[in-house]
Amino acid sequence: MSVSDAKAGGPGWVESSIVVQGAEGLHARPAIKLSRAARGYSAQILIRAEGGESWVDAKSVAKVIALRVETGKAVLLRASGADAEAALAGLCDLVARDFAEEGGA
Amino acid sequence: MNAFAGRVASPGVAAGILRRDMPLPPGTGRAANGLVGAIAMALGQLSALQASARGLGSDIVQFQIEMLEDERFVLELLEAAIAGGDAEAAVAAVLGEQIDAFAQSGSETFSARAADLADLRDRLLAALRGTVRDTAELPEGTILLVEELVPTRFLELDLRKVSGIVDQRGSTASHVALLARSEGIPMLVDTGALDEALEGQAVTLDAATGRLLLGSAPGPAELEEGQPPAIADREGEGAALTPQGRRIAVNLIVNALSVLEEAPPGWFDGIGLVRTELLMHDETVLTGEDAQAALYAPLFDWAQGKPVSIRLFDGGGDKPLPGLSVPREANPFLGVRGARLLMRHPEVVATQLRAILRAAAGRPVRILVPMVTLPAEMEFFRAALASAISALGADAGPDSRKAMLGMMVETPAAALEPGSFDADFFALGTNDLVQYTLAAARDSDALELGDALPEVVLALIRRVVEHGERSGREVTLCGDVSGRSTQLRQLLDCGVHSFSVPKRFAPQLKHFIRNGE
Repeated sequence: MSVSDAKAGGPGWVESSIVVQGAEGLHARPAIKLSRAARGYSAQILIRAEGGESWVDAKSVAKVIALRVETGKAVLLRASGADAEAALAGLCDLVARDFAEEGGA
Repeated sequence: MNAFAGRVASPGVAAGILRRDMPLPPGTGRAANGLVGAIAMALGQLSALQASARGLGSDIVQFQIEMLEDERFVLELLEAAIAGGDAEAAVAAVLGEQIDAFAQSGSETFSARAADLADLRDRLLAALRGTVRDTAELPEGTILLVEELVPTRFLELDLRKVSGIVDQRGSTASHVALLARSEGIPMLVDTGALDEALEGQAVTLDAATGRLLLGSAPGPAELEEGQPPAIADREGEGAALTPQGRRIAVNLIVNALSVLEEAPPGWFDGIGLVRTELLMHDETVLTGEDAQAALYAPLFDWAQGKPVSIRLFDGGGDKPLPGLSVPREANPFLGVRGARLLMRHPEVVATQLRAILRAAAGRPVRILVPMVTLPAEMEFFRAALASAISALGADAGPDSRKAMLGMMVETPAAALEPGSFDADFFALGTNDLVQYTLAAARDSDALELGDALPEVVLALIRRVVEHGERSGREVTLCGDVSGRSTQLRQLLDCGVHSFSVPKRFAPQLKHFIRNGE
């Protein structure tokens, strides 16, 4: 499925949104963690800043940081593929944990 | 003496030969097929850097590595290069677009990212042009002249050879400025274009007052926080005992919070001086109470119960404080500076005191008042501290009443009768003490002082040290003298038993204390 299909949403896509907390928003370190985590899933995953217009590939750190999501702003996540549900759950959990390492301090 | 003005990105003084950093070579219009090799080359360089980078430096390098390992980003570069037939133009265009977007974002966090992307762009361009910018060739005692220094270039520098940095552009809020403060490398920014004839000349970089002076200026105070000789890091470990068995405390000076990620707590007996004005993110306004408290908290986390001395904002002289007006005076060094400036802004003092107490949350805290000259000044700050504690109530933490109040001793007025001041501890600032005692500015060659501290200055220091011993109050000496063995010998002989230095000087200082050389 192409990105343009995804922009239309529609069948096959699951969607979720979450507010980015933490001191500095989705800056370098969180953007790296988010894109790394996204690459762990086979689903196509797109991300958009709330109020923004473009959906971008969540597996690309360059695209994610270019969204310039500041702290307190929400992001929308959209996934399609075999593990789409798991991907959204996992990524939302990562954001909710404020990008802390799992099981770590 | 010729002098050139700039803004202080990292304080300190260093002497050396002004040498220009190797510039980016001119473009060659390389075709698209060079791009893959250039990316691989840049990745190799960054990986090598990452092996030794820590803290903020490591974060900056990692971000650039991730960018180059991002398939989508690389694909975009390659597509642009193939479409236009010019790899350099593609790199400049693709990264340029992102850089502009970040620079205009209005958010400080993301603006700093613009500089990191410019850094990456320059690295790719240099790789495309087949250049390896080797720093091994820089001779010792170099004051590096640069044009908009980028973070990874700073990380490549051999800091045993580069004793100071002059950036003709740059900003005090950049990542490079933070790295320089963290390493304790004196750095001046925004000097404007300097005459090429200055290259190769002996200069003194006075990043205490914000000037680059032609010629190596005389005077013992000049080289404070200068260049540390190569002493193994392991000398930093453990207690510093003189050959006679006297224990000398070595405390950390914090000019940037990133130093906390790099400084091993085991090297230090505590934090002896925090230059809080340098921790502010914004160049135009002082940070509010909540944000200040968040800035100071990591100091106490790092110290783990060891004493932490936080100096209240030190401005005036010719050093403005963000958002505070400093009166225009014919002679600012004899005017409204240090404690005097703060007393004109009691609300700033109250906010900062509350923030410090909240950050300490009951852990041992010492509050240091900058340049004090009259006993009444300490009464003002004692009352302000008491008000801050009662205003906070339970939020100040259970032991807030144990918070100590100390003073910077930088004038003969403070040093002659230290007992007349209501101070729980003292911090000696030798730079200013020398210039105020001798009535000679640090950039003046009016006096030929040689290496040693003048006897009158030692007499003043001795007075403070003796008062400290009699009254059970701690006296620490701030500023680095570890490269100045004559002075260090004098100070140890005076009975100074506590020094506060930037991180990189600790091994050298301890080595001297232990070996007497």
